Amino acid sequence: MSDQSDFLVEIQTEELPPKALLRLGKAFHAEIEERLRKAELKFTDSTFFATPRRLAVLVNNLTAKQNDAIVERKGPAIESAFDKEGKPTQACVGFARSCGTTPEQLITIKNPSGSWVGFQQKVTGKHVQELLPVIVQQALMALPIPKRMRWGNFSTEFVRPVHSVIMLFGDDIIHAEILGCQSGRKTRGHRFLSKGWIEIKNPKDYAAKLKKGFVLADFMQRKEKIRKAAYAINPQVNIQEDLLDEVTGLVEWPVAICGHFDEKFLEVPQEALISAMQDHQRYFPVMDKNDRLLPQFVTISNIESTDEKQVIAGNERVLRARLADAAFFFEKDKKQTLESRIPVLKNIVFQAKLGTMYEKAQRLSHLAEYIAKKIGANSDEAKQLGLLAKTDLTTELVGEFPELQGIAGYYYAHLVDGISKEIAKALLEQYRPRFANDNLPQTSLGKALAIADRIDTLIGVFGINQQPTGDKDPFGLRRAAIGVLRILIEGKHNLDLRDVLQFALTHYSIQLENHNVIEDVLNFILERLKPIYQEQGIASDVLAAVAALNITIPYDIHCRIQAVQSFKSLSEAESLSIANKRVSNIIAKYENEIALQDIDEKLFELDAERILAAKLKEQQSAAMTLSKAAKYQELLSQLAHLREPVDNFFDQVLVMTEDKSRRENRILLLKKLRELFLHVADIALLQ
Amino acid sequence: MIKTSYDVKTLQGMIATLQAFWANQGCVIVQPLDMEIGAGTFHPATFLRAIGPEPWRAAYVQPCRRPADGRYGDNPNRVQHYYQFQVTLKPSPENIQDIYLESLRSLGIDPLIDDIRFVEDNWEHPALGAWGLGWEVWQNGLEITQFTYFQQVGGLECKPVSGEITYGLERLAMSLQGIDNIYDLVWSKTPFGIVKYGDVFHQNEVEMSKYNFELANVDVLFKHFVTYEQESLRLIEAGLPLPAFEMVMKASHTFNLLDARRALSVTERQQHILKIRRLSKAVAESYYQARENLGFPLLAQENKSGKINNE
Repeated sequence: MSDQSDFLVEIQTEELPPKALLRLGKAFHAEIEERLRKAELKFTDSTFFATPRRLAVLVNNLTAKQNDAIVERKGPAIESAFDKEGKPTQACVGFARSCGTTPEQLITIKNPSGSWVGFQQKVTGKHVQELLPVIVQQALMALPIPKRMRWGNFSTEFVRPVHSVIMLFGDDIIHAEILGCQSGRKTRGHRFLSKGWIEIKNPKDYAAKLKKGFVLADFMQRKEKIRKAAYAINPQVNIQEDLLDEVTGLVEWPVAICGHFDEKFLEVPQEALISAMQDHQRYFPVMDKNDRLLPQFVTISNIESTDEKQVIAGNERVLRARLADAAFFFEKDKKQTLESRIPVLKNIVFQAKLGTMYEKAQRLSHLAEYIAKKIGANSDEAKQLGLLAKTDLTTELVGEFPELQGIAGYYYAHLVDGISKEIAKALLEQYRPRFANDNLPQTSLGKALAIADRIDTLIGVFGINQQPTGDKDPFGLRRAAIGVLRILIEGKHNLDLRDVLQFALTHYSIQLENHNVIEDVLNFILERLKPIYQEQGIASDVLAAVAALNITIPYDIHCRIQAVQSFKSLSEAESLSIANKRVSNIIAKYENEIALQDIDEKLFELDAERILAAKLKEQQSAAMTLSKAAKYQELLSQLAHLREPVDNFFDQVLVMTEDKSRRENRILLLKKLRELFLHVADIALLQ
Repeated sequence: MIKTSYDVKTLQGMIATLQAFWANQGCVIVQPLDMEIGAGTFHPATFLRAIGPEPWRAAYVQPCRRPADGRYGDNPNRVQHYYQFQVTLKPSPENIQDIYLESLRSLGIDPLIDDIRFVEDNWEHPALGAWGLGWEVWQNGLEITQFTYFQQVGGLECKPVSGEITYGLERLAMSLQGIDNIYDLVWSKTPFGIVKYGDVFHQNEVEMSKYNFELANVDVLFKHFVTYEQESLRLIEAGLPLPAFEMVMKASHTFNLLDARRALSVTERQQHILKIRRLSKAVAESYYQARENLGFPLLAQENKSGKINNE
């Protein structure tokens, strides 16, 4: 066997979950690489393959064997290892025995702090034949598989039943039992297009051999091939990346086909049609330039059919049935107003301990009205929309297509209840943002509803002590909190969270277990600011400087953070921050002992005091005005001018003078300085 | 003359073909359960036989009732009464997918023409304390079969694992016959003319929808549920898992009717599901015990003959 060769491992299985396939393929790859590195087995590069029926990793130029290593073990010190006659002591003999040798074989280890007997052993590096089976087994055990299964009579567990395993090092099989299979060099090609076993002679041949067996093993290549094929067959196809990944996980030999459906279905909300195509059938919809759905679809089959017309006809028939269902539900739903559905919400649970959606709707109505008033939306409309917000959950269309919640409400509100489209839009927007970087609600009613929905859920779930722990967040509360913050900050709304939470709590008719719920939710929401600003590259000290003021208006916090961030880049910042720190320490120590009521100019002794006092006075009224107008950045750049008088003050004035009244006068002066900055933030906390 | 090959373009021909195919695979062709159930899985030949170490292979047609799915005979794809063809193979053979694909070929489906795929679809039935992993099988995008490796039944680990194959007969037939409306399905071609699915079942769909949604007596159903639950508990107590399981099935169907009538408040609904689950678990344990007391007889036969006894 040569010094280095390519290594291939393939686990051939029954069809793997398509949504998880890419993650599994990458994880298998990463776990193997990591273990090779830990075992100090060198290689040049490596790659992975993933199809519905296989996971594989190819490692190029893997060294055949670990390096030999010399290992030293230290025993007792020389003086206690040998007696006066130079004979080995009990301790020495014992040490030798523990090393599996005799005292004669021991060596002396010397260093500046002394000498010891020692034992030196050459450890021969292990061969890949021995190492790889364990590495692969461990890598498989470490895969992120939510539910492992068993099959037949076996106790082996994996994502799906395993049929064969390839382990090749160069031309040689690495013999091992992996997931109940004896490793070899054989695999299967396409389930229908390929016949019999495919033999892999050398790892390098793997992809090419499989291609001959009608399998495109490389996930990324297959994905791009599908994209190309879809565009080739219909240039207006609309491809969502996550659906493309899923489709890539569903085929080994992709063939794009284009089908059509009856134009009459276009009367149904296109979101429902798209949902039927994407989520239920894994078809790609086809859209015109204005994002209007066309009566066509592209689907990726897993076969070069000998009669493609039948594949198309079959797919068209399935879609027809689904669209007919959607149309049927849509027509049926339209016979009933959303308003008449409000009582039906009593049949839908919000959360077992928190009652039904009917009760939630009542709360939403009050809360949306309250928020609308604060953010300048029409509060009467908000009140009405709050009651209607969840009524579409009782429609057949949402029953069939749960992902249409909100969208269905929007359509029915204007088609059946006669609410204007502009207002009805809030029903759709209440669920935004649905994920990171998703669009925010655009209408102010939409914002009011979106905030109300999330705040109500936060209060309720924290109220029954089911707040997120670790990575468990079943109610999506982190996302909800971030949604509230984004809507308020990006919309520049000065809404005080504490007030909203208080209001939301008073409308919960049931007694919530958690008595500290307002503070808990407040902390939870404001805690989400950290990742938001971290992502924007704003350091945590800036956040801390603002957080110290305990403000509960997210937009106000935001403005202050921006101001402090830009202040921090000024040349005056460091010195002023240090000054604030000193002042803060002094005040913390002496504030309670001060007898003096106010600054007394007569007590000033030095010019530096007088100048600082004058400058502070100058700034004071401007600071008040700017702070009220939330012009924090301007305020801080004004205050930056204080650097020189402040520096001079500390250079020339001894604050802790013996004279009590002078001392107190100086402390009061410094307190003024600090108060000026505290209009914006506690810049003493800047690093 | 007895026909040995059937016309798969009729519903009855298709069923006959599947029965012949699976009989050849060593399945006991049992008959439908004579009770109202929501899925072929409830049949003791699947649910109870999945418990314990004994090998078992069976296939059967099972009428299924899902009262809430009624559409008064108006919807071309949805009915409150339909048929499943259920296959259960325990332990699941290594080539179970290949055998299944062979069964499709016996129906005239050619995987070199049609796009046949196994698409992840995991199965969970909380009321039965059961779950498994598997797929729905697609033929040109149409789900024609549910394929599940049982992992747990009645809260008990499945050792060995049963492979369950459930064909949706109407769907499969609609695909084979190239038809869009269930009521147009050819049931059989008789010397007296063609009999369609609608001829056999349309009136039933109309009347049963009316019963399920409008006329089922809610008070009586509630009382029935209580009775079945108590009876089931009493029978488990008496060490009779089979009649106890019948009571569970009756309770379950009663629950489905109450659900179709929208007679259950949200909390009641949850409570009823939990009651059925508790019963299912107790039945499963009791059944295991009963088989163990009998010395797992099918296990002994397997040891004697080296294979499954399917006489």
